[in-house]
Amino acid sequence: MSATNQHNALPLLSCNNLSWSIDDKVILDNINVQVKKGQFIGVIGPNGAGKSSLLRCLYRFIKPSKGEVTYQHHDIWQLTAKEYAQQVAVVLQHTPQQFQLSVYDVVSQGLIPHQINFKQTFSELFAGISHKTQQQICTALAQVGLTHKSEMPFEQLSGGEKQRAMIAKAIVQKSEVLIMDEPTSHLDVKYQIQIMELAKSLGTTTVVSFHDLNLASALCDEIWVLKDGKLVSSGTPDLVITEPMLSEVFDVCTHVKPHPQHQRPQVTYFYGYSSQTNIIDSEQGVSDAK
Amino acid sequence: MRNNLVAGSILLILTLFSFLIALSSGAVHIPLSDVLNLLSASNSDVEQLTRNIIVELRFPRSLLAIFAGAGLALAGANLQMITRNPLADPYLFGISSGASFGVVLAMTIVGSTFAFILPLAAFAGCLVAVTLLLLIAGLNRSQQVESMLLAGVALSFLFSAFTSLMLYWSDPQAVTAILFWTLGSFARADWQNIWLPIVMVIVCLSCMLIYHRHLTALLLGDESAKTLGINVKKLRISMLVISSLLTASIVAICGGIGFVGLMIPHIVRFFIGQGKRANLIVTGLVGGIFMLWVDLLSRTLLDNQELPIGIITSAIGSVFFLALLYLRKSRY
Repeated sequence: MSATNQHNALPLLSCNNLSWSIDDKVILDNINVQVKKGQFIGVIGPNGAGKSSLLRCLYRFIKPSKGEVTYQHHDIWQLTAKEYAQQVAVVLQHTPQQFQLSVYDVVSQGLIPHQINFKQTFSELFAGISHKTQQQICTALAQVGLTHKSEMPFEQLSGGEKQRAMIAKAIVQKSEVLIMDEPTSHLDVKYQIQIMELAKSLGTTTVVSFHDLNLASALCDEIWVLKDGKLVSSGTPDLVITEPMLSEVFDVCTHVKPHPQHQRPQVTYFYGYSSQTNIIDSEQGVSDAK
Repeated sequence: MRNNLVAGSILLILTLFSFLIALSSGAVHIPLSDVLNLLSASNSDVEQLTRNIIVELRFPRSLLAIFAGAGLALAGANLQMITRNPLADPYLFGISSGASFGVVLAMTIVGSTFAFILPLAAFAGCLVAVTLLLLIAGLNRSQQVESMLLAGVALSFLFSAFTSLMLYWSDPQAVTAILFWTLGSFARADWQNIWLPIVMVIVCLSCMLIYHRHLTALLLGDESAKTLGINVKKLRISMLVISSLLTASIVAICGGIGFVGLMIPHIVRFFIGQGKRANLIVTGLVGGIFMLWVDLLSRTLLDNQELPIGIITSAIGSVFFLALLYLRKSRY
């Protein structure tokens, strides 16, 4: 999909003046963003910036206290949870342990939003999962490379394989939009790249939160930068991943240069005590101000 | 899938076989041929006494044993799924202590002369406990699972305290009667009262089969389940209500039978997991067979005396469970 196409496309999801607070503590402050069809969007920001909260608002887990989230111009809270689940699939950061389900069982949960009527459920009850549906699950498993492990207990998978199984579940859900909340935390470098490239290869409209700036820069069409619940910057990686921005948002000294392979910004961090002096100064400044 | 079918068929045959054995054994031994003869033809040449023993006593009793075992096992499996807690059990939520309280109250007020009132009192006690639990769990919006479990335990203690207090004030005869009641027995089974547990088992099993995929989705966490469009709160509360009513219908007739609801789901899960619908049917059948044999033991172990069911289930259950834990350790 070309960049011009994306600009002309109508927004699928948009946040209009979105704010969310708990007991007077503002978590998200007046956020306006749009997700267009086919875009791969990265959400970055320091811990506690509100990345997960923003994504939770997008996947209809949190009801915003002000403003609205719309899906194709409908307020998502006017849709039922099931209708919305048919449009938006989610891959979460953590999966609980110990539940003795096979990989196939977990992946087949993606069918839930599409179990529309009792007739369908009953026919499945007595005749088993239909051939077409089975095919759908098998294709999803093949897409994430887990066909040979489909009957294995989910718990026995490695961290990367677990996330791949969760992505397969999202594929079975056949949604327009995929939202992923830090899917690569706890994973090693190989799996981080593998999972993100897999997500990108699906071609679905995707919103994903990252901690790895280089991965975000390499894969995303657009990046949203959050700090203290505010949208600090948004745009293409070239516009957003800059030394002043990283210093302002993450309080780190960096050097940004084009990546040798794809020419997008590549971040190099400076280490050592002296490189952190400006941080100590700025923190001092903050505490003085208090 | 095929494994499940094979397991299901074997268990079904085993259930029928155990049922026939249960009909033939007891204080009076009736040959299997007579039992089969009686069941296959209505006008057979079996003696009237034998016919009465089988049709009026052993048949309803064994049927109740099967459905009580299946019901407790299913209720346990259901509660373990909706709370994501392997220790959940139909009696954990104060249901059984609510029933005991009902029985004790009824005995104190009307005495033990009106035996028929005890099941009613037990059922009413269960309902009070469940209603209180729902009120508490329904009030707390976040962390529903935790508050539900803790509220259940607290209610359980509350009812036990009241029960103990009333027992402390009542006469020794009532204390014995109540003790016997809390240990469980199928002796009260007759054709008039076994329909409620049977209906409830069928209702509960059907709901669990229909919503099985939703229930397994709960295992992956509330947030994950919500993103699949599931109304988590509604699903959890309705499943809690259904399994509580099922437990109440069993407790009201059979008294307290511990450990089955906790143990059977674990055993089934240990061998065949919990991702497939067929596993629920296997859970029910295993529970039913187990209870049938426990009842048989309780009737035949001692001459002219019945052992309370609760003692046998707990004794066999704990030993078996410990063995299973040991097995699991050595497996991984």
